[in-house]
Amino acid sequence: MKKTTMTTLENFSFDSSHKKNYPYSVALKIADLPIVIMAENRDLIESAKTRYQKFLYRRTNFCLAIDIHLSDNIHFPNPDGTENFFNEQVFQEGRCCIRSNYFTGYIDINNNYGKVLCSNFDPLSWLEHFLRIAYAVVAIKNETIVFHGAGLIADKKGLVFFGPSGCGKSTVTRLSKHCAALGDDMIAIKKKNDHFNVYATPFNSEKNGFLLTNTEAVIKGFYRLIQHKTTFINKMSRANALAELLASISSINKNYQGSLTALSLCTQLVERIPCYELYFTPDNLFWRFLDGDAEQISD
Amino acid sequence: MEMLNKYPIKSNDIASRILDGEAVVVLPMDSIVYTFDPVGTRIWDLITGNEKFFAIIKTIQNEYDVPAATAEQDTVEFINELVAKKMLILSELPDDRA
Repeated sequence: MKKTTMTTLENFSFDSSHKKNYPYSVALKIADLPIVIMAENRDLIESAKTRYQKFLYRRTNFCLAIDIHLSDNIHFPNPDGTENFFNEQVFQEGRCCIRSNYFTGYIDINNNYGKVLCSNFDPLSWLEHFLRIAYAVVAIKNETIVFHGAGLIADKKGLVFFGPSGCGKSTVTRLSKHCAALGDDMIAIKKKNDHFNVYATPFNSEKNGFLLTNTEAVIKGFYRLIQHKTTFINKMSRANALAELLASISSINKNYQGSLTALSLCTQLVERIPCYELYFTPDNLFWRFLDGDAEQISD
Repeated sequence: MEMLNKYPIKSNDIASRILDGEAVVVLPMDSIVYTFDPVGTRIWDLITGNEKFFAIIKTIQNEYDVPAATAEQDTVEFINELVAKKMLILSELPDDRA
């Protein structure tokens, strides 16, 4: 087994000059937040353009610029000494440092700039890991929540289904073919014109075979999914709803400022939008319990 | 008990909100969110940093129709649990932020 000394952010030298950008780039816009990714490697950028084709953006104002550098033979051992996959983020002095077995990087939160060193092996996969966390950190700074949930649009209204892994977010998405799917695992939520909108993100969903629609809709309701032998719905108390929503936001992890923003936004959400526990069987009967959508049931 | 003369003070590293009589407390460092029942929320609300532990117990004894010993025991257990979860510290001095 090859052992590689762990490169840390302390001994890996990044050129933080904003002027020296790499020659190839791809720009994305996710939930109205534009991002540019720059790299020396053309193939990586072309792969990213294909992977994120529904989110490509053509303007030049960005809220986050990320430089990617690829290198051979990168493998950072898990700090706990095991061979297990790890993924950690640390906030220090205005930076969010993000590390995993195959990448290490940071986001300079105040300067909207990030840099990452990735393994040459499957770099698009590691880029997405980094990007997902980096985007969530920058999004919460911009009062946008990256939310672990499924987003659907039915009758022009957004419905958000959420709960821990395995609760049925992908099942509900699969059973709702009459709806536009914004994502079955990770969506974005943002206040816009005095409403809260749900947006698609490019993270995770299409791996499960869903075709995403990159659009947005005003949120009509939140549904905490609970698999059960019968289907029924309960309105949640606002405090319980607030706790459940907060538990579905990954960007508050070790991020005190982000937690304050998330707490404020989620308090507004539960004050304006109803939150339910949706007990459901794995069929589309649950649509009968979503107000005004009974006629939408597909056969 | 000596600790009853101390001031319970909320940690700087938590964020909380009270909604409809229930407190929701976020611990970002541990990625945990807690909700408290109405009695726990009342105790949480009484922890201003300027009230001694025994004063909080007295208020709970006065406000709830339970034996004084039960109110004291429940309040002590709850506050000790919050200290163990690093949501509070017990200080000799009042909170100078309060």
